[in-house]
Amino acid sequence: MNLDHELRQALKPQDPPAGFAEEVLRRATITGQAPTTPLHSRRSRWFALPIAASLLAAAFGWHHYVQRQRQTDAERATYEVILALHIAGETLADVQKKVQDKLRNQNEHQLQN
Amino acid sequence: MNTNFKTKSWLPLLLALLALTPRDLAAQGPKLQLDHLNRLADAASETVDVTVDPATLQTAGFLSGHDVNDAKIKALIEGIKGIYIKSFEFTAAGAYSEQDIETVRKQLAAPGWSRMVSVREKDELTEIYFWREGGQNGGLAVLSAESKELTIVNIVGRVDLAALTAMGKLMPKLPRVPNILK
Repeated sequence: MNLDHELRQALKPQDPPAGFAEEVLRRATITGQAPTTPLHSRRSRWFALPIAASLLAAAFGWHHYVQRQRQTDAERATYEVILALHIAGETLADVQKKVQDKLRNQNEHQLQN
Repeated sequence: MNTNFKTKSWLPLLLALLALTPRDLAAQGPKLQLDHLNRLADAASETVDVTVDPATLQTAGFLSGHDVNDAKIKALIEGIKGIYIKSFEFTAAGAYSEQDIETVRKQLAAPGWSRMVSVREKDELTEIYFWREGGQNGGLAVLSAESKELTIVNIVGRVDLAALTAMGKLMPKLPRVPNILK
């Protein structure tokens, strides 16, 4: 019986304190408000993104160009070196043949005499 | 007074020039001066002018060395510091003068050079010279003059003659380089 009475007292509806509704409304207004960021900061954020992307793309392009240029230079240099060696070798082989021919002719001439 | 001043101011310069000239001649080294032959290109039907300087040799150092020929080339160019070639083919005889050849031969008469081969026939001269440095092979010059053809090969550095002569066989292995002469 006593317990029943205590429960009734505890769960009995009560009126809110004065000014409760105003306080709830005030807090709700503050939470829903947009952050107070300055206008120029918001603009620079929008500009920074494409600029950074452009710089990245330019850096990548430049790196690719330099790599490609280096490869072309190396290929050209290799070609020139091999060409030079080939011409030098061919000239030497011609000289060798001339000397051999001359020696052969001299020997034949000596044998005939 | 004025003359004396002029003499005094020129004297150090004159002495410096006198001191430098013999050293310059001796320091010419195994690299020949062949620029005087450039004018022959106008008269030539075919010109080959190849300059492979140390920078080019260094750039070409990317040769992998995995291929047998690549390894041979790599070994061959290891001691080479430069390759300079001028070759001209003419449609008629007499396009170059005796003076053109003598200018080259005069350089090859300098100390350091020794002639190893000389074949002189009618309208033909073939010579091979070696540059020796500290008792070692430090360069090569080949002069081949025919009536309608003039070729001068100058290699600076250590040259393996046998390997170089065998280089002709490697011609089909030339790397495919698009727009190489552009």
